[in-house]
Amino acid sequence: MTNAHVQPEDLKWKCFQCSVNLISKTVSLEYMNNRFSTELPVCPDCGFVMISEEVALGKMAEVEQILEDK
Amino acid sequence: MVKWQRLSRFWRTNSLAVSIPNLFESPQFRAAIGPVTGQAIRPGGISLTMEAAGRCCLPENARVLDIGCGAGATAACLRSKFKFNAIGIDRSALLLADALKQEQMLPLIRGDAVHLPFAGSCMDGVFMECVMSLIPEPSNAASECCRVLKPGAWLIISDIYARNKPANIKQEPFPMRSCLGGAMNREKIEDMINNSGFHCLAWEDRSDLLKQMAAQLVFEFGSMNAFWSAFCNGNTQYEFKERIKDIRPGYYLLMARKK
Repeated sequence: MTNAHVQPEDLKWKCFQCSVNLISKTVSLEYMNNRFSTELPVCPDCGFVMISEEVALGKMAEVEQILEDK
Repeated sequence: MVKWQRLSRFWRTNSLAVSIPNLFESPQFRAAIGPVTGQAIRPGGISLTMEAAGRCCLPENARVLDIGCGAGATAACLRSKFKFNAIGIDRSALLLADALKQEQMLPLIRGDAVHLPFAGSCMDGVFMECVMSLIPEPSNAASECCRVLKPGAWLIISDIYARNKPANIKQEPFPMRSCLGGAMNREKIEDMINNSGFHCLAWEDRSDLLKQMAAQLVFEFGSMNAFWSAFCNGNTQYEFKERIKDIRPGYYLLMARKK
């Protein structure tokens, strides 16, 4: 029913610092004092979260507009 | 002696007949929104109910009615967390059947908000969450709430409201019955409650909860368009989106006491 949050191609990336493959993990995000949880590619060692251009300009941009009441 | 004429109004076929489909009864809609809202399909979910219930300071065993109880999530919460003697009423046989499937022994009955099958002055509290905007005659429902409540008892309403001025809102029918279709503006809601035998003690804009729900749906589905597509076709989707732009929906919590 819902979208697959993390695409297989998103997990082909490696963390630059740790040199390990990213994994799909539930991440807590906060914007304008609103907390959300969603699946994103994460480095299992240092916890670095990768937000792709598609996510940033897609669902995150739409969420920003909703929360900014636009 | 049974007064048949008085009893019969609860089974009038036209009082429970619905000519257009109910969005909240659509299995596709419930499947789509359920993972975001949980059992209580409304902004704020059970947490707003618990906040309001806590603020009423009602004692254990208080007799509380949840109008538009759906599958009984709110009644169950009021019984377990607050130890209220909570009863639910809903006009939807489909949603009440869902409650039965969950095997919770809840006192839920089928009936109509404008013809409550209860004696006068018998309730300590009435909850109506995301329900008033679904009722074709909301002022009759408010009067019925007043009738069944004891003097000084609480009426708790949370619902969608229209933030745009009435003059700027097109009066067009909705493709499906939903809380968006019956959204009124703040002034009208407060007047209706105050004129139905209540003192309106608090009105709080809780639009943040509506925005949070919409934002979580975007994270879940990828976009609001994808969410709408999960349960309605292109035309219906377009009408919904136009109507949302038209009314600029917000969400409110209202707490009132019977005079």
